Amino acid sequence: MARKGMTTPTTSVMIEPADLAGMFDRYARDLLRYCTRRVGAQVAEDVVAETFLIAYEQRDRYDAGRGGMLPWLYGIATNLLRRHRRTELRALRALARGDRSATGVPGHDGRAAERVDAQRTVAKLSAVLAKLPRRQRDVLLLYAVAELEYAEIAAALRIPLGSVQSSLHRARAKVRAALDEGDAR
Amino acid sequence: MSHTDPDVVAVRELPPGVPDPSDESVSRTWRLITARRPAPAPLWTRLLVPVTAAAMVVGLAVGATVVFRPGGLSVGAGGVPSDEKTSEPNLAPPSPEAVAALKAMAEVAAGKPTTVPPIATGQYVFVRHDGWVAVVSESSQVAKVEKQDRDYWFDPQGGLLRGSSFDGAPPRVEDQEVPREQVLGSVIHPTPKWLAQLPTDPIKLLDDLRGAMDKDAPWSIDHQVWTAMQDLYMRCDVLLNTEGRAALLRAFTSLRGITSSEVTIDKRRLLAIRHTERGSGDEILFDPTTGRAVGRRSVNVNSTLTLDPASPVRLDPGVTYQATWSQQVVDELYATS
Repeated sequence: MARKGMTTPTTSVMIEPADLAGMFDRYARDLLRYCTRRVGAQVAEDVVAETFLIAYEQRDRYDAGRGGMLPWLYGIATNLLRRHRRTELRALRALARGDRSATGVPGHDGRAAERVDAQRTVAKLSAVLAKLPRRQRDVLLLYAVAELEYAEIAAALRIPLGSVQSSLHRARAKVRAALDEGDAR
Repeated sequence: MSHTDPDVVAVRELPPGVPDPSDESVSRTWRLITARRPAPAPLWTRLLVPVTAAAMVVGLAVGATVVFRPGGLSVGAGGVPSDEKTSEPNLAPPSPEAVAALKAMAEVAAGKPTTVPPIATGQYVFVRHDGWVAVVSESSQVAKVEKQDRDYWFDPQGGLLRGSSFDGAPPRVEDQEVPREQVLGSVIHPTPKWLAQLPTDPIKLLDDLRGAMDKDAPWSIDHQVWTAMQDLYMRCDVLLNTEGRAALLRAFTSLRGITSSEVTIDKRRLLAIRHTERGSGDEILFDPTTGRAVGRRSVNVNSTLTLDPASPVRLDPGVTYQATWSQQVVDELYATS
């Protein structure tokens, strides 16, 4: 599974949400990575901190039988990210306009033509993401960035598996269309 | 369809060039958590300092600028995660067995005069904390049990963490402080003087303990008292005098929601007094022959997990964390005897 490359081990999980520090130790980087991609580093730290506090506070609601702890945490984080929808959309739209500074990401080195192509792809993709319905965007980013499986996304968002599949199918069709359009240029 | 399909990878890499979270970012996030946590909260969870954040501590300590504090106890520094009571508190009267066991233990404690070591400036309470935690794979309901060894050095003036060592690693500096909202000399930040002057009337003592709790917290007052006592015992049981130890045990006989059971850990027969709320059982383990607190356990009351038979220690059903401790007063930081 692609998640192998991440810092969090996938084979074992603290089962006790009461162990706040243990949860944090295992999952903070994954959640920060996911949230940073969505709302930038500064807001991400705030969201991730809040995610762990809520998880700790609601630890009696955690049901290991309904999925792992990491999807549960992603679900809390994704809910919190909805409070920052404007921030996320603003950044995506800025990227769609080709404004790389909007994310604070420096430009890549490389040949000018390749850089222009890459920036064009980024702009197209960003525009697509900005226009996705909220659920499709959540499902797509949990699949692509968090690298959750369908069932984990369903558990995280508390939606049926079929909804995950259909949302992901629709979102990816739009993404692929944007990428194909970029390739056709 | 997989996570490595080009379109998925393209989404994953958006925006391009975003670096992985840095140690500084992880540390800042942990500081946000400790700053925002409502008090009181179980100290032991704060003491299991994240490894990543702990690495930051060491690095910064070398530079003589320790900025990470694992022991945040501040109130209202930020948003409280949930200010709603999400379920009813456990208002059940204490079980008759628990009351009888506590009374008996109080008698034992009262009959065993203990000498509290005099505390001089520069001395610390050293706590060796031997823990076991249950871990489970994401796709399994079978838990393995992992060892967690922790050494702590507390400033007896407030029970403030001053040093720690995890799993035999070199000790590191800790710099827990008393938040402005809290006072030195309380159940949250006990001092030798405060401990020595505990009311011997159990009703008055319990009133005082309850009065120090947050009435607006999502957990019941008595649950907060219990988790605060877990922290207090872990940091400074060794500083309790005969009268105070017995009075506390008598005071607990009026706590709502507690039960008792006998447990055997490392061939020691111990008495587990548990407060249960919202499916979580929080236990203090007492030595019934002395009345001293010697450990703690966390129990998931509704757990369906089973333990891997190959685990190095057997935990009772539902137990997700178990630790025993030993304490002594030492003359310098990082001393162990």
